[in-house]
Amino acid sequence: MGETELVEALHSLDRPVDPSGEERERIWQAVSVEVAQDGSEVDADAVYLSHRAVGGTTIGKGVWRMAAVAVVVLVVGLGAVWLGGPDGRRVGGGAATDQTVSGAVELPDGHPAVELLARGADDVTTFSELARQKGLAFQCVSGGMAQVCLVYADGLVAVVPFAAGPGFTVTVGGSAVAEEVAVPLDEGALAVPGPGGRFTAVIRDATGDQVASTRGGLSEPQPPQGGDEVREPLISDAEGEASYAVGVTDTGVLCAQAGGANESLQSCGGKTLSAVAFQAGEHVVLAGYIPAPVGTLTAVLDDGQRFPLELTLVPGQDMFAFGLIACHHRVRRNRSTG
Amino acid sequence: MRHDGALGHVDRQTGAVDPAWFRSFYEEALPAVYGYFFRRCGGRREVAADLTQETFVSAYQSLRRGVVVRSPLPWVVTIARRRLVDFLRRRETDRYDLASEQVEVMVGPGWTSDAEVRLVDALDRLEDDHRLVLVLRYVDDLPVKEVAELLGRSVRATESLLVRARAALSQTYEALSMRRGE
Repeated sequence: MGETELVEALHSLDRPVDPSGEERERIWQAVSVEVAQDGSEVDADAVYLSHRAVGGTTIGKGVWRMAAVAVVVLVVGLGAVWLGGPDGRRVGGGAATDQTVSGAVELPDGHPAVELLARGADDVTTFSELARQKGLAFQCVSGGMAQVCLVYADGLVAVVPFAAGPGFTVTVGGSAVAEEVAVPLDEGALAVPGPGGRFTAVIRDATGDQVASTRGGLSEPQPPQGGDEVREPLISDAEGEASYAVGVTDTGVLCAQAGGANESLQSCGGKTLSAVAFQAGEHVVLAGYIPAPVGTLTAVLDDGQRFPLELTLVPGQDMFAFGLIACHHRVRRNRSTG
Repeated sequence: MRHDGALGHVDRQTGAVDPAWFRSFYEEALPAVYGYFFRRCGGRREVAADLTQETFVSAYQSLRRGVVVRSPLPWVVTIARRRLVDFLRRRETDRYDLASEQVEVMVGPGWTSDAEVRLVDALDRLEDDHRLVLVLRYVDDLPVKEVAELLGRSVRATESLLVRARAALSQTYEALSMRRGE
């Protein structure tokens, strides 16, 4: 088939496809969470996956409202404050329910989820931030009164609840786990054995009504897509124990890195217009990359501070520009534009 | 119920959308939206299902915000298109362990021929920007100017990208054909 015929054939691809009855219902179930809640708490768009080395998760708009609930739940559960404990096993607590924990196991000491909780990550925001910094495969789900994070490592999907009403459960299924398991959220953090991968998570309240659901993937952090390595950093800067670099992979993906004595972070952007920002210790690292010889990007931080990135030509190319800055305590300190 | 007129199932005072009406709209529009993603995402049902779900949630939220819609089906397909652009441009394909998901290689529901399966497979193997420009220009049949706007490129750069993308598709398709001994 020649190029012209292929183009003609492309036209014919635009036609409806009826999903199977099971798919139809599954998609509707996820949509109906939004419809049932009438947009009040669950934002399906707000739950997306961790990926690559610095994958991340964003919690929905309802998180701030739910944070208040979380505080109440945490205070009530003071008898079992989530600290991991010396043996780091059962994390969390609360009244036992009559629900069966089928196939769930206790978290082993070395699981990264336990380590994060022991480091004081006792709310979803802190937990997500630390998980992101450590490059873990994780995702958080929220809905109704419940917030739960899933973390995959070493053949176990940790189910870490942060807020839940009495009797709430999360059912974890999909290829990521060996078998579908309903985990009571007021039992504390438990783990579901499995190889990681695609999963479904459905949170139900005490009456069995679904209050949130999501699907996604839990995989080990991956290198930039395409399997290509970041080429020699185009630029790097060092100050004290930290260093920063921005580079472009062979397929044009922007990657910014921050390295220090204790950790090395990397975030990658898209192939065309892209910008990345992440917290590295006391610094906020900002990098940008555009398909134009020169230009500027402005990074706007949460507090409204604006940092212009002056982009300059990528060495060896004539159509791409990039820039990198690292802000110490949100005050511009290092700046390098190549 | 056909939804080919203005959406009149939104309470003007509360912004609430009639759930029964939305379900009915979902049932009618689902094949178009699911089909939109299905062949544009390598025939991967899971990806198509995820993006379909997000499209309908986005549509629902838009209605809640008071967006006035006169032609629901084209409107929801436009949302799907934006979602696809976001998906491919933000490299959200990383969300999926694509290597472990088998594309359907047999002619079956949703496919008309082996050649079509191979074409979708070839399209799926292209770099994201090549795939996206081909989908928008030839599958969605958008004018180059509109494609350029969606991609944030100049018309000239888009035309240039199209040339490279067509060549890449042709090469990939040929390679797949040779691999299968044709």
